Amino acid sequence: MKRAKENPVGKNNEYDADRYAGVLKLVKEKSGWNGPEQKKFSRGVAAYFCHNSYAAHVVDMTTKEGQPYVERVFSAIDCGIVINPDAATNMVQGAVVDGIGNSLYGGLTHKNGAVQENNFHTYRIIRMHEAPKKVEVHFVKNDIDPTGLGEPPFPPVFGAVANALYKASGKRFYQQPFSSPQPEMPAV
Amino acid sequence: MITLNINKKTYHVGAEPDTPLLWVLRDHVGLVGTKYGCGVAQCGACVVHLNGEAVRSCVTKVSRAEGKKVVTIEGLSATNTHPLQKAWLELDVSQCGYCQAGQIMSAAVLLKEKAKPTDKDIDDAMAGNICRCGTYLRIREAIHLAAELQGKGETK
Ligand code: FES
Ligand code: FES
Repeated sequence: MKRAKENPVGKNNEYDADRYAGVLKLVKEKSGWNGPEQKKFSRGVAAYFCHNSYAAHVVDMTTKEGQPYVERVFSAIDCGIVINPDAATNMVQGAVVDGIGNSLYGGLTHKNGAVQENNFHTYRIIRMHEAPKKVEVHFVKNDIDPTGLGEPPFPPVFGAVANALYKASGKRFYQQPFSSPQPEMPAV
Repeated sequence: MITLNINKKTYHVGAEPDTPLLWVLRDHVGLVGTKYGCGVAQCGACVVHLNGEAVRSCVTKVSRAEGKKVVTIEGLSATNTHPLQKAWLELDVSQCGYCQAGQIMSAAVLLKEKAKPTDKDIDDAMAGNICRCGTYLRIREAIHLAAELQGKGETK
């Protein structure tokens, strides 16, 4: 924590290390991290900061018809005061669902400067049966003025899914979408 | 001239027989609750009922609707109190809302066929409806709730 405060990642990052750690702590507690649940799923966690808000997710992955399936997600968000908790929860759930779809199969390719996936028959969007059954959202309670919520819960889903895939397969996934062939890692 | 029965009203429209029903609904008749999402039967935003069955109006020629009963989201309930509409309100399902008319129309056929749909029934019936805002969890919950309301006799 001391190091995080003294040497924040990135030059212009103005994040508050305590709030960043705060969402991780909250999601750890709510998901029962390292508890008995850990054995039932391939679990992955990631946290993120943008638009002055903090988001962390734990994704619980299993397989469904031989494919990776995120069955359940725990989210912890610090976006200051939450004005409308139900709508805010809906928004986070949506970011998680769409993030899972994008991380696993939302690929775009280009040819001669044009996007090849020009409609939903080639651009795959997550559907009902692929979405998790439960996304449990928790907000950090404080008196800080409200900050962003549309974007912040979205990017960390990718990291959490990649980490769950690593847990499941022992392989690192760096290339999105993760269902695409993964490049060989350069030797370290 | 083609004669159509939409939401229990008769309309005469001057459209070519191969015009997609979706175009006729939105541009000729002015019922814009039904949405255009993809035009190629992939997203479900354009779902309406044709003699009680869910069809994708973007790939349904208007000639196919002649002599049949067309129901759009506007005609699902005269008072907007279909169990699905009540459940959708209760659980605050919508985000941008663009997909929701299609979602509700697909779910309405499911509820008619299965009074108590299981999660698997919902997966199967709703697989053709995309929601870019990711509201699937609430759609599922709302279908279960609507089934309950319907069971209690809270019909339109
Ligand atoms: S607009 Fe008809 S299925 Fe997408
Ligand atoms: S609510 Fe926005 S696409 Fe479904």
